[in-house]
Amino acid sequence: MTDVRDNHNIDLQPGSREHPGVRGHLKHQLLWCFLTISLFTMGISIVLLVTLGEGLRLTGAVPAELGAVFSATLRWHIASSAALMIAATGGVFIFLYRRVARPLEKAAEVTGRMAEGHLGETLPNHPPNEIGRIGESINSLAVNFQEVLILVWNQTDNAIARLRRTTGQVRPNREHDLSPDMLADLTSARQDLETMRMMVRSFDLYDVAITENDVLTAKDTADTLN
Amino acid sequence: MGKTILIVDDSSIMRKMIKETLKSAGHDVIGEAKNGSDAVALYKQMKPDLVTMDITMRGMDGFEAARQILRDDRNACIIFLSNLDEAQYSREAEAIGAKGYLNKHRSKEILTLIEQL
Repeated sequence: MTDVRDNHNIDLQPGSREHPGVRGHLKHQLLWCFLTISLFTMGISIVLLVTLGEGLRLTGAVPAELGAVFSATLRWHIASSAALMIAATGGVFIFLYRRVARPLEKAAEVTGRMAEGHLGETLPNHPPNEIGRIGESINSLAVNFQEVLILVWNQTDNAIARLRRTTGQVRPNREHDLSPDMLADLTSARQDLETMRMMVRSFDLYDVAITENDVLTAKDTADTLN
Repeated sequence: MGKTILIVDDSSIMRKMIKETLKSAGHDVIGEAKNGSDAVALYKQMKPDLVTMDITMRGMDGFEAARQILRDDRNACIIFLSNLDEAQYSREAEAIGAKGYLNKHRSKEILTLIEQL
């Protein structure tokens, strides 16, 4: 039996698929944003620390002693504000990584495998935000798709059985009743049904396995094989 | 008279199809669950006349959910609607205490079964 996935040269190793035109990872981009903001904040702070005291001295607006105290306080405020801003940016980065980047990374990995026919994969339905809801919707889509595939399998099974009965009843005694065209059409219809079944079999289903004759739970199929 | 029914199936499309079939015959679908544990909780809360139960679901499966429902309420009326091999799984459904087992894709037959109950 030909696996339809072979026709598209898809590598089924988890996580090995390259997406043409898609480069980089969100977590790396977030990290770059964090580093840029941190470096910018540090740069501005250093410039302020170096130039502010100098500026105060140059203006001569305040007495030297008072100026020194004021300058030290201001420097301390600038340094602590810069540290706080970097820490806050770090907090935002960690929050975005945990609540957005990591779930999206997982979603990209799982949906990639689903797209390759592994419908048994499940996306986590957390975090409790839009990303979690997307995960739930994708799971629901996979379940519905599996339902359609099993319907196709069962209906084609019935149709093939009917075709077998029809051709089996006609062929032994009354083959001449059917024109060659009609016989060719029946054969072709059966081949089309077999192709549909072949396509269904190329998918991995969730907790269900399709054997030659039956649709069983994956557990029962494993027990049968053992 | 129409019965109050709880539909348990992980596929939203199947729940919709079953719901339409049941409503067309005047039954009242009072709840829907997409896995076994939700089904057990909803059954306790709603006490429906009948439960239509799928077997394979993410999380708790239909057999386990039916066992738990029947443990709490021996008179619970459960009909399995599944696309698994009928010959193999209808025996297990019967052993658990379900009132019937039907192929999900011939769900209209459930109306006849409900009339017979």
